[in-house]
Amino acid sequence: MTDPHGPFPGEPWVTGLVRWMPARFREARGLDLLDCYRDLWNDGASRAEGRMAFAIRAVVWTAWVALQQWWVRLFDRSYGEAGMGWDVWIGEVRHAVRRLRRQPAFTAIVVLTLGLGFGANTAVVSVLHSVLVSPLEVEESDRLVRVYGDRIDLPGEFDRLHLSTPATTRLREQVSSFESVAVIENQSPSGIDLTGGDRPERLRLLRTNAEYFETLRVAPMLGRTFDPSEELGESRVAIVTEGVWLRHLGGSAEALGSSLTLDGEAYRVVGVVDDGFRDPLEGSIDVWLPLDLRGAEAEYWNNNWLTAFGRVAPGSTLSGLRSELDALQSRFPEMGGPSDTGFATVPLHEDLVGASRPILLAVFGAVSFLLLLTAVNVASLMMARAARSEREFAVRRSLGSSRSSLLRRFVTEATLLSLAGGLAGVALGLGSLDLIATIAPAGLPGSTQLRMGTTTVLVAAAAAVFVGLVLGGATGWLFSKPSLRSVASGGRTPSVGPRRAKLRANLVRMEIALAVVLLSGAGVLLFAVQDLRSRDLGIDPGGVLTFKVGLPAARYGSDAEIYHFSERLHERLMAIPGAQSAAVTSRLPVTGSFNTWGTRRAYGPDAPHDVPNTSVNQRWIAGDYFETIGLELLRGRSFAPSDAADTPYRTVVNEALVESLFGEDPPLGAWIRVGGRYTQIVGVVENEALTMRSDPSPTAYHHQRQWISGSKKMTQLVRVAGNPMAAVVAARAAVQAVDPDLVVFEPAELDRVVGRGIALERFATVLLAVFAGLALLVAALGLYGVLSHAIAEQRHELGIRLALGADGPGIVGMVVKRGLLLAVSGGIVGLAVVWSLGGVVESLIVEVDPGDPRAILAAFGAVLASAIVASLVPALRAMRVDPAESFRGG
Amino acid sequence: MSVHTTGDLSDHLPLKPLDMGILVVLSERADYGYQIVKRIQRPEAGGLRLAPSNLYNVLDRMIRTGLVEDLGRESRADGPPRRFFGISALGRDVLAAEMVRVGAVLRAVSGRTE
Repeated sequence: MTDPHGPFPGEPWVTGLVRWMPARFREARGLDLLDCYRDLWNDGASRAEGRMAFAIRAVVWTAWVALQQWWVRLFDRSYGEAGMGWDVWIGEVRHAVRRLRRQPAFTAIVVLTLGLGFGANTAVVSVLHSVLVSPLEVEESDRLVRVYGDRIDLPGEFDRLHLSTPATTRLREQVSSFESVAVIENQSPSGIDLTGGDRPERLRLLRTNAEYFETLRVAPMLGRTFDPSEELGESRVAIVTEGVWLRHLGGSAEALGSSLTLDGEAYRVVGVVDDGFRDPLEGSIDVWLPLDLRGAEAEYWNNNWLTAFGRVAPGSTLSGLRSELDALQSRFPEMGGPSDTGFATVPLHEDLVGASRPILLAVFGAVSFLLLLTAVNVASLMMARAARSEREFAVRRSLGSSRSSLLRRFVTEATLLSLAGGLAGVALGLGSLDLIATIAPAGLPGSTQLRMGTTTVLVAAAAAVFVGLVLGGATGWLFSKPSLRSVASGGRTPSVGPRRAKLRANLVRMEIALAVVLLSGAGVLLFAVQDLRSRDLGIDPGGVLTFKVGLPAARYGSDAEIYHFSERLHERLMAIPGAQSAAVTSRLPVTGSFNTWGTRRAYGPDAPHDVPNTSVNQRWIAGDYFETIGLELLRGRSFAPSDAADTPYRTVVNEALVESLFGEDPPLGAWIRVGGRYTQIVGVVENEALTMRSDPSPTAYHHQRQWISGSKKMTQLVRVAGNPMAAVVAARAAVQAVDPDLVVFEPAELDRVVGRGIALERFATVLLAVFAGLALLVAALGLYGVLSHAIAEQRHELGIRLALGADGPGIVGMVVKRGLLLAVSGGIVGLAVVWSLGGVVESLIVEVDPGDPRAILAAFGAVLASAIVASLVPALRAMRVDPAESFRGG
Repeated sequence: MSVHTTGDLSDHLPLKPLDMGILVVLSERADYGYQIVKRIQRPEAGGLRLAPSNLYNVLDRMIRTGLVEDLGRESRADGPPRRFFGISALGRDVLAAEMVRVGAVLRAVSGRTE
């Protein structure tokens, strides 16, 4: 053939491909295929996208041609015969069903084993889909973009700062790439008490701007959304959910305009929203109130208290948005805003799921290994079964049955089994979703509504067909060419038998290797979580009950009123049976940064001001806070009654603050300046960890008696003897005794609250541990099967050995040794896989050491232990072989 | 050449464009697979595009329906031997009948536009 473009480099590849096709096709049309690729190459090579286009088309063509040719071959159709063999196919299915029904035990074991693999996969894929793909059930959610504040002077770092009121106002008014912008209070659960009914009810509250609902494409089912003119602190309008409307307003359309008493103040209900609506960041909400964006703080740039996400306008692009935001931030200084802070954007979906993606993908990887393992196990079972019918196959072949008819039989059977396994898996997956939802961490987006989509089921079905074709094809390939010798020798072929046994042994090795991979994966995560849990957090969270009480502004307007409440509640809480200490704080320990204010060292009220600020976490406390959370006082004193509202401000600080603000200097009696006040350090406490993972951060503790900071959402803590949750009823009574209109909400053990920081890891660990356990079980059953089969084959030989004086324990030892050798060799392969996957795991989950020797040792130990157990039964059976019987039968 | 009844022919009519293109090029001369693909792309054969991956399907079908014959492997002067395909007697008759059918349609349409 003439070739104007020079030689075709893919020629050896195509020739190789053609060689793989059935002989008849190869002879008739192999060269055509080569010509065609050559032309395609020459055609593509002259264009820029040539190679890629060539590769894609070549792969598609080849796959298509191969499929056609193999189909024709499988159904014995010559090129010219009519039909694609559906009649043959239906007949095969009927026969296969009959055969499988005759062997219910085999069928059940295979379906169950594959069901485990598919079940775990469908469940995990459903979790992945619910959490990673569809947590944002908002119309055109791909156009929603979260806007963060970002320090321009720290390039390369994504600071994820909240936004100030004027910054969000500029976003709404001056960025045309946004169709609308939603603004909410920064992500901190907030509640409001609904009173006036039989008993007070705590409602989940979200304060929003006017365009919030429009941005989320939610239209109220009744009434209207907020008007921009209502974005004022004194606005008394509310939007409620259908549930609140039904429970408290009688569910009638006339209820619009009537009022609800929230935190002691009357609010006019202007809209009702469907119960199904969830805020993408905050989840389910009962009542929405307007944010105060046009009041006193409208031009106050220093309070970053808002979260914003916008809907990108049709026709606008992210890069267009980016340049608009850049232009806007460059004008900040002339507006009176900061020169060092700009904007950063993240697609809202990415913002929600980005953090949980790596670990969930790791779980998905693990569950794929489990499916592979179950498939290998089934391959081994199918081979053992086929070996029993080998003589029948040989006879059929010798009587003229074609190889493809045998191949067809295997493929049909395996595909049916695999589809049944897939079906069982879907059922198992569906059943386990509820269970998974109960152990899923509360903050995991989408995890409350786990469901299995049609796509998942279809993918499972496709995977089942694929597994069936591969299993059936491989087994069929091996057993459809038995030699005539096996007919002559009654099915026992000395040359083929050991080869098959070796193959089965290798399959078991593979199972063990996969089990080792899963076990060490689960172990690595387990030890990582354990290490995090055993970290010294600086506090003793055990035995502490925490709960929140929100104080309505109407009745608790002044600092004195708030503090007075704290004191009275403290008395009541200390009267609870078993109460050892009680306290109140603005933020629970080990729950992350909050109220991080610039703080600097000061030398008394008249000292110079040119000392730089350091970011310090501020906490407002009262009662026996340090005692209750188990934070040790190292120097100086804690707060005393003498630290009163009219005496100089006193502060207790932690060691980290001393180190970062003072270095080596003794801090007692030193002054710091924070929040516009000078305050004197009177004591130093141990560091409390900021989160489960991060290092302690400088923290200053202020007493409520001296400084409330206006916070009416305080968290109460009570240390009790015994189970803290048993004290919830008493705590509720204590709160009601102080103020019957107040509600106790979010009661929890401090231990649990602190552990939430690693909830996702714990969740993944539980899943992985379950999968690893299943893997171990399946691998052990595989090993058991191979050893049992070997013992059955060797009955004769064992009988002779026993007759010649071999002792029982010796025989047991021999079998167990064989099992252990298989386990060890498989385990070594598994370790090699673990080692080679280490980089992937490390890139997915940062804080994990994939080569953790404890995990690897534990995995290996578990595999060896189960190998011994799996070997013992066949070993004992071997010991009981009757020598006389083996001579008679032999 | 065997004679077919008109009843036989009408079973095959109207011809699919691809089948017609293949019959047209094969009526000129027998050829091997990939050359057929290339020849039917020419304007005089209808300028049809046929993915080579699909050619074997189409040829197999036409062999089954008796329009095309597998002529076996033939040596060529400019390359290794190839399997050649030719138009069968039935194929020729069907093609002729199709031409008559299409011609009648053409005449009717051109008469309407005059």
